Amino acid sequence: MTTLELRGVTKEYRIRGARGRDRKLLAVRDVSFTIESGRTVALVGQSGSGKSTIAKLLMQLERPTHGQILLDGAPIRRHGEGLREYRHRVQMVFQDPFASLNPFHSVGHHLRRPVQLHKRANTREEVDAAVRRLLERVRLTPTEQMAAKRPHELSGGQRQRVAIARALAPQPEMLVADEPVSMLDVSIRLGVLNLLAQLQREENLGVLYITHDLATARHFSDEILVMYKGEIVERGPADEVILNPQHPYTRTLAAAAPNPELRLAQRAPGGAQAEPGFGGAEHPHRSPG
Amino acid sequence: MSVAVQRSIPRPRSADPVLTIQDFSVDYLGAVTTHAVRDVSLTLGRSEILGLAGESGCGKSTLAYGITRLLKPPALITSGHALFHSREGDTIDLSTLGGEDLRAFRGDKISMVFQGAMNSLNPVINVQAQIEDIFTTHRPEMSRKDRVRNCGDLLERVGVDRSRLKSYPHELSGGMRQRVMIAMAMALGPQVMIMDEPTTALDVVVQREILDEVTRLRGELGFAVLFITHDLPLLLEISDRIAVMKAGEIVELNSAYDLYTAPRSDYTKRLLASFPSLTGERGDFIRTGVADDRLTETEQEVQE
Repeated sequence: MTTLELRGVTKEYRIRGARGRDRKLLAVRDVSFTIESGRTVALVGQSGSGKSTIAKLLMQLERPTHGQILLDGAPIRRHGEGLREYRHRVQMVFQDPFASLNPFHSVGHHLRRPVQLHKRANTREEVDAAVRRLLERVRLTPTEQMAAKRPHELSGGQRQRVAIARALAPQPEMLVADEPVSMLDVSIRLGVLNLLAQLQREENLGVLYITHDLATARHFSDEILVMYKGEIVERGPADEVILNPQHPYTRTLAAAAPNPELRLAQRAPGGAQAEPGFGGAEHPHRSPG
Repeated sequence: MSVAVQRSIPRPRSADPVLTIQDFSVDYLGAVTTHAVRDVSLTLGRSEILGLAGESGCGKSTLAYGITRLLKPPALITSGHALFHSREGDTIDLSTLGGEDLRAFRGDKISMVFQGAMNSLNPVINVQAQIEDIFTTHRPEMSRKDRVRNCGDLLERVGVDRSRLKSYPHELSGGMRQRVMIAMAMALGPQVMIMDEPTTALDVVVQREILDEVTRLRGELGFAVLFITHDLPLLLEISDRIAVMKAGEIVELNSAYDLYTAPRSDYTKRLLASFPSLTGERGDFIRTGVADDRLTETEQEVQE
């Protein structure tokens, strides 16, 4: 079993000001959590709460100011062979499938490259077979035709599935998914998440699911961490956090999420009251109707 | 329309329409002609929020652009009218307007908040100059002092402090930029606002604030809103009525409550089933791994 652990991680950014007026922005403050094989951890919070900074730290695009990141209990390697090894094992799915695929290259190219770079196949036949297998796994069939297409010929959901296949190409053990469905239509989000969950079960992947959508976080993950201004303010089993939020910020988030059941219940004939025990009605900005 | 909904919204709307769209069709004349909008008929009541829901590529934005006559070739309006009924009782056919008349009409009577509005502000001039532009164009008689005061009032109305007038767009957060765009759309007190995915790029908390703002302002100022989005759960909350669009046609039009509780078309049922419920059970299949065929089904739909 693989574990990826953040231990007391803090990230400060320097904001350049006029001479002598530099300020510091504490993007992530003393965050600790562990992702394990076969489990999904959701990191929720609004824009600017530091979610994506954590993704960057995990992908080694940024270095923590304080604290450690540990893979299987050992501090992660930052250079050379050790870094390559880390990248074999930890991969990422980006938010925007319209920007993360190169419009110049075919789908096949996008998948061949990681297979070759990570030396998962050597001969041309093996590489082609690996690409076919990846496309089948994300259900982009017929694979021959799909591999020849370029990103602009695909729908948003299909592109994101290419991005998922690309992340799976090095056969990673950990997957960081930064808002993988927020750019997609609401109606196809569940399908993509469903696919991701299925692949996770097959590979026993550990997944960090970063999102601002509480409803998908609840259904997709085992554990939820709520992040606010760089700190984790609430954590626990998914249903526990959503159905019984403790921290005021979690309640604000829950109240902000579209929840037609609650809203329409108030409008219903006979004016049925909102379900008790849920923070929907406590939102200060709520206007009637 | 059910009795219940009429009770919760005081004014009978169908009797007093502000915008009537009749048999509207738009084609894109490419190598293959695409029928983007087919024979759409809609009525927007005064001070009503009408939601227009549909997946990417269903023609909902094309319809909005068609109504305001913003389409450019290769798009072509092949049939239909959009009739605007002013508060004073005049009826204007938008297809008869052109040149200066059309320019004066837009913004004044019907205004639009565009998709990705966050990026539709000019990055090199400040907010005040951009809002003032509207007044110098549409209200040339207005004095400079009044213009500046109006700009500040507008910003405050959407919940942005007037000290931000001198800010440039990059100095504002995404939510604030969106508010500025809404303020600009409201500048001339239009009777209809068309909002094309106004909250898509924002996070849930900011989205909620904007929606509350729109609902509040609608109550204060009484404009009608045509709200376009792919986010059906969101529409269910804010709209009075919802039109569901698929492949250029409206497949269902009903009050939000009836649409949610008793959807008639299969497509609406599928859309409703496609978002997970926050507090209920719906969506559980992700964890349990059943109902996997859903993915392929909805995807094919988009492709058509």
